[in-house]
Amino acid sequence: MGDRDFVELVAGRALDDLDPHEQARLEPHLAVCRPCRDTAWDLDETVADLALAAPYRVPPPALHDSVMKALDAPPLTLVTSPAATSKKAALGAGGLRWRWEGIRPLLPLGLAAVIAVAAIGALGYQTTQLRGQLNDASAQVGSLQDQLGDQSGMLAVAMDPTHRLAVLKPEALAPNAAASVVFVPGTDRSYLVADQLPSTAPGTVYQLWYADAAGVHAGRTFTWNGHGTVVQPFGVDLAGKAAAMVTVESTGGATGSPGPQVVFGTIPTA
Amino acid sequence: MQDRNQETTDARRAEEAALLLRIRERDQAAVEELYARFSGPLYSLAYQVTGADRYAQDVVQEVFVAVWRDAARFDPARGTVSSWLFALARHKAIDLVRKEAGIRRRSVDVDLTLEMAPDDVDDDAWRNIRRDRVRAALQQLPEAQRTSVELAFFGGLTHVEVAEKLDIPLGTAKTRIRTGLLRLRDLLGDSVSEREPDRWATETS
Repeated sequence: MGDRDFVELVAGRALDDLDPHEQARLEPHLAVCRPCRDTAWDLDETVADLALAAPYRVPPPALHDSVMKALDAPPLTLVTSPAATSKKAALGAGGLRWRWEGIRPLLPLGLAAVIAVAAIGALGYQTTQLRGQLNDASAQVGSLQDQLGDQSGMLAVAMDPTHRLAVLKPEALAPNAAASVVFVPGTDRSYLVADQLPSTAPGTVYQLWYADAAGVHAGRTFTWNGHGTVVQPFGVDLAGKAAAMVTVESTGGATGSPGPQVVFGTIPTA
Repeated sequence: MQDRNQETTDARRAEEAALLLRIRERDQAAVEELYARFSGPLYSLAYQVTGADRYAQDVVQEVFVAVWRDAARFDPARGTVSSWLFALARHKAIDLVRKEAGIRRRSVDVDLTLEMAPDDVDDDAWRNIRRDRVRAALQQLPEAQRTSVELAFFGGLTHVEVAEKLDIPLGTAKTRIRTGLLRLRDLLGDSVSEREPDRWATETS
């Protein structure tokens, strides 16, 4: 893709006129391309100027009072649940505290699965059906152990005084998502932490990506059931990287161009 | 003269960014100042997109409520206050148009009459100068580009809808809109990026 193509995409972006594939191509490029970022800034200003071309109309005087009254009205919470709102508020305050909440439901689940395995083992049945159940339960336990391992790893990073945090902004595919990456610079201890990610559709997976001066790099894939908090290890040192994102891909993941973005954010330099 | 205009523009941008900082600190007087500065242009844009006073009022109200509740969402590394406010207003106006099919039949009666309004008099001198420059720049675009940009911006049409309305291939519509916008940028001729450091590089979480 040539520079001119990217500049045209930047123009489309200024008018919110990119399809998901165009957006997926452009955003990682913007993270590493200063001239295109400058063009994006200019075109956003051009679009703001364009608004001035509308014939000027004096707003009705009553509008002022209704706006000021509306500022004092309590926000509507018809869409977002109170729990979700408080989680977002806590995230906005700069903490990772709410992330602990997502872990609690997993503990009894894990315990229940372990008890199930132990009970099945004690019965000593050797039937195929029970072996199948045992295998399923063991797989569940394994998966839960992985999740718990990721979560304790993430918590250790979050409690490390040198950790850094970058917020990933939700895209149209997951407008309510609250996501960030937390990492300890100079190590491969880096995690995606995300709440309110929609479940993955059959045949699709989420995939982690990061961008640096060399381009965009694919990371691990995962499926998601839409409940609780996602914790996924990046497994690379994110310090010095330009951006991180999550995309939707077909099962197996992508290795070249990323698919539609779910969350995206640049990584602060220090 | 160009430098003087640029200085004024920069000063206004700095003032507006300072207002947003005060709003983040819950200073309602700053909202009053922001309202005094932007309510007219925001209302005018919303009216142009929705074509109805009551919807334009709804849009303006939603914009200021959003600013009051989510001022922290404004990221000076990504743009100016005015570009943020106009983007908010345009998104909300287009959302309204799309939800309320009764406002107008989209892609059929998009009003592109930009020169006529009963009270087309803004008491902000800087904005009047700016408005004249933008309108003059629009007039310098080839008609096909100008129409495509106006349909996309004021009509809120997607590039697919622009292509349908103008009966042209999708790729042509995209190219006209994007090239038109780039040409406008050049005609307005005060690229900030040539004068200032990389803002994104200073971004923090």
